[in-house]
Amino acid sequence: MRRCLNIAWKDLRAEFRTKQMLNSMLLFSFLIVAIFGFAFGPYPERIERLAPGVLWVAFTFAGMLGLSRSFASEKEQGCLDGLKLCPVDRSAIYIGKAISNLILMFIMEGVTIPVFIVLFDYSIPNLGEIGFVVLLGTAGFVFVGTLLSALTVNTRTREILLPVILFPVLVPVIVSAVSATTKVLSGVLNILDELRILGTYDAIFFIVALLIFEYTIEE
Amino acid sequence: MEVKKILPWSTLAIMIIAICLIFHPASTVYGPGGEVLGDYYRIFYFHVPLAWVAYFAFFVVFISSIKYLQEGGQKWDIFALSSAEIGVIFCGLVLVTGMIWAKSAWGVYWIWDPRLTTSLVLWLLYAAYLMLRSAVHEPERRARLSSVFGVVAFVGVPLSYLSIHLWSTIHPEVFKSGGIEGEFIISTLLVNLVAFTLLYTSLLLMRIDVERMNEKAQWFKKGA
Amino acid sequence: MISINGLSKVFGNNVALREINLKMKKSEFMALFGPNGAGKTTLIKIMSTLIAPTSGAVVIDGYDIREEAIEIRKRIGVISHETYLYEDLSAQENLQFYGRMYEVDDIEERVSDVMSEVGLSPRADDLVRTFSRGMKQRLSIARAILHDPPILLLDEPYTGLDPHAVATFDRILEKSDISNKTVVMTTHMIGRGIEMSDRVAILRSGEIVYDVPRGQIRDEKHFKSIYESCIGEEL
Repeated sequence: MRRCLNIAWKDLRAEFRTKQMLNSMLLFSFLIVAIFGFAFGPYPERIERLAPGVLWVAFTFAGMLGLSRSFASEKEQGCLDGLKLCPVDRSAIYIGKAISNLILMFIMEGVTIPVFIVLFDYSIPNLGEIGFVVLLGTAGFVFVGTLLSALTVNTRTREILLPVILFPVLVPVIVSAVSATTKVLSGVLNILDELRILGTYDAIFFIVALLIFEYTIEE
Repeated sequence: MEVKKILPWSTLAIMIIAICLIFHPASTVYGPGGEVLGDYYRIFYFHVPLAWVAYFAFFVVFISSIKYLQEGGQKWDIFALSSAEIGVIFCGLVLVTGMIWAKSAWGVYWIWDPRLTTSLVLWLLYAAYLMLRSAVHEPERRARLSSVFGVVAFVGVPLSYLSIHLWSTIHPEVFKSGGIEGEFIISTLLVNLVAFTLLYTSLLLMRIDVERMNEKAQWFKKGA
Repeated sequence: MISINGLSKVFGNNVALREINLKMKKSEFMALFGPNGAGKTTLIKIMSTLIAPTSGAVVIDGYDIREEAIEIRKRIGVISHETYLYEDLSAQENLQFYGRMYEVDDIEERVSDVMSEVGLSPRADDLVRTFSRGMKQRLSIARAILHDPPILLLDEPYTGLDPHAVATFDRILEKSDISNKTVVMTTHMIGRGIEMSDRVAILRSGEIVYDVPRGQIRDEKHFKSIYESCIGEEL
């Protein structure tokens, strides 16, 4: 576990030095919220029906940018081979990468939500519950995304391919996260069914990823 | 060898019987209130077997992918590829027949019904699977990477269905499909199920043959 | 120390390695020559557990390559023409990262020792991005010997180095206790390879076609004629 954190630490250290990925993720999610603002007109009615969709589109699309670079940086200078030479299980590489992706996602989401609140002059009720849904949804997104990012890094059209193969797999996350967010925003706190699906999804894909990650980075 | 010769012909025969049964007067579909529905409702005899075969085909991709990751071997990869291609075509037909049914039954081409939507997700998943395959050139890497995706894609399907079910019931459930009653109707459906399963099997075997010949051709080309 | 038995590797329809048999004693230095595509890199990658063999057995320091890969990884250092260094981290951060991955004791001390050994102490806090090719390759030696492995695998380490950098590279290698390490080096630079090694082998189309102690080679010219007759083409 210490070595998983070491991998994540190394990623974040390099990332905070250049901030290339983080900046583009932040800007992109900002852009998506703004575009929705333009699309819905300046003062949309029933904002609590739009908010979940806008937020989750922003999270997943901006997150996609980060994921697509996650393993690309390892390909330079053969670093992925360097990692594979380290005396750790392949799954440690997966966990390390997932941790750094999670942290970048949380930072991006932590900025996007206030931006949304300000732009749409909408005070989000039940922030605690929203936070929990975002946590579980993001975990699912990152667990699958990290695996598929490692998978596409060796293909020719990785930038296009990753969204195409990732989004259909993410349907349960997006659907239940949006559904749960919608309910919470309209004051309904009975979201156990959604949370159950999100939790199961996270658990299943984390285990599946640990089992099959090694096949994605083999040669 | 013998099976390969008999199978296409028996498939053809049972397909003809199945089609005759569909247009038999006794196969008329009744609505929930017992009223006689129009002939276009008979598309349901295609729709259900197509869906069954598509789901089964994707299950075969899942199993072959696991097998490939466990023990390797090109045959599992060819199996997965062939089954995925057939599955995508059949699943596409499920969507089309579903839309025709929806239009005639409810006046709209699409309803966000959990089953229909899950079929859409499946179609997207395996279209993506085929796209992934086309993006990798080296045969071994292609087999390995697509096997990983073959596993990931299938594992999420039950959760997709559950989540869509949950989400679509936010909206009132207006639409209910017609009931399936009467021995003749059920036997027509069963014959169709058998016919389409046989069709899938023959297509799968043919597709595998084509792929093997393709391999051989590549091999000869290299040798020359 | 290294024992390879009937090792084969097949990529699709291409046979990269064919029934390789090889035994190496402790602290032996073998130079491995051969034209491009002969399977040198594949052999190194299999020994370093990066790719799995199709058939055959590789046992390194008593550990089997399939069953106990992690134990083997602790005991090997790999230097290739790729540096395995992160460009956006400083030299020191790179070594600290790898040091923690190998669970090196007293990381700070070991890193600064190794850093001065390769003569990069003054640049420790600079980003690797700003380094020259030669400096990166020196840092890559530091990375490979950080955990003091008894076995070094060098795959075309001279690629992209100018003659001065090559000389520095060799000097550092010799300084780093290399006489006590078991080394396999692949290279195109025949002179360098012969000078450093005490055993010389030639790989052609996935087979070892020549394997003698260094003592049997008179000089570079002599070996070049052997190489040409083995490969069947001029150097």
